[in-house]
Amino acid sequence: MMPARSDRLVHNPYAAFLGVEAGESAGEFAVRWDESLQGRKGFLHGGVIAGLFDMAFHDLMAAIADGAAVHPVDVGVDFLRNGLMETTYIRAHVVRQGRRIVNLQAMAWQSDPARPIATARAHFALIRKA
Amino acid sequence: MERDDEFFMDMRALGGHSRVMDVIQTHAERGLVEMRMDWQPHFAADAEGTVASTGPILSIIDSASGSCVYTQSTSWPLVTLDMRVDYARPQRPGTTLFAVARCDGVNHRRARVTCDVHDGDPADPVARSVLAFFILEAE
Repeated sequence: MMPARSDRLVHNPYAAFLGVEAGESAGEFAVRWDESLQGRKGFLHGGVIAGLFDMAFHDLMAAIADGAAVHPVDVGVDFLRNGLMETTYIRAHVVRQGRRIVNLQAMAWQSDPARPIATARAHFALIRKA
Repeated sequence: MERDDEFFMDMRALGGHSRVMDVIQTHAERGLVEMRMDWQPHFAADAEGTVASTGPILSIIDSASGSCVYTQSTSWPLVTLDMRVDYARPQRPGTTLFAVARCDGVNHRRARVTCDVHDGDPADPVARSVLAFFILEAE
């Protein structure tokens, strides 16, 4: 079951700066092409792609944290194809939710969901006050 | 500001994301690139500005690491295969990010870069990372 979308991204200045449009569920969104996202001429900046994954992971964590503090542990991004000057879609999901550690994966694509431009994985720690 | 003109890359002239993030090279020599990125209010992750987004950390890592490979090889096109980042602690909101990227060289078209990021004290990093690059065609 997908957790309900949080309103966190609405109040996130960095999400607004990148032009993130929240999707139906937490960890899902779209970003329209903008020149401010360009790295090598004509292509998305790799740091933007990684940053969008990171944002999707944080968005999903905020929805499932249930009052615990959320600490990012690590993130890994595999770049599969050039990101073109098109709308980019991101979707993250929980692979395993433990009591203290959550493992997440995500995918980014543009015109064709079957042709991802990048994938990512991450660990987050949930810190609960005793 | 130390600068070796042979390896210096004018990030502002690149336009696009580097320009809006205002990332600049502060040092470049063969195998080593340092960059800085001053704080901007929209780098915050919350409306009150009490939490820094981790996105700018990933952005400066990608910029510093890619340009570090260029100090070893200007062959083209160069693609990032993967990036792995370990977070050490949150960036303090309002602080400047500094990235130090190292690349030992290009071996069979492959390059490995390590990049550490801190917000003022190199001994107290916010993140450490390793990236793999590949040169698609020989020059």
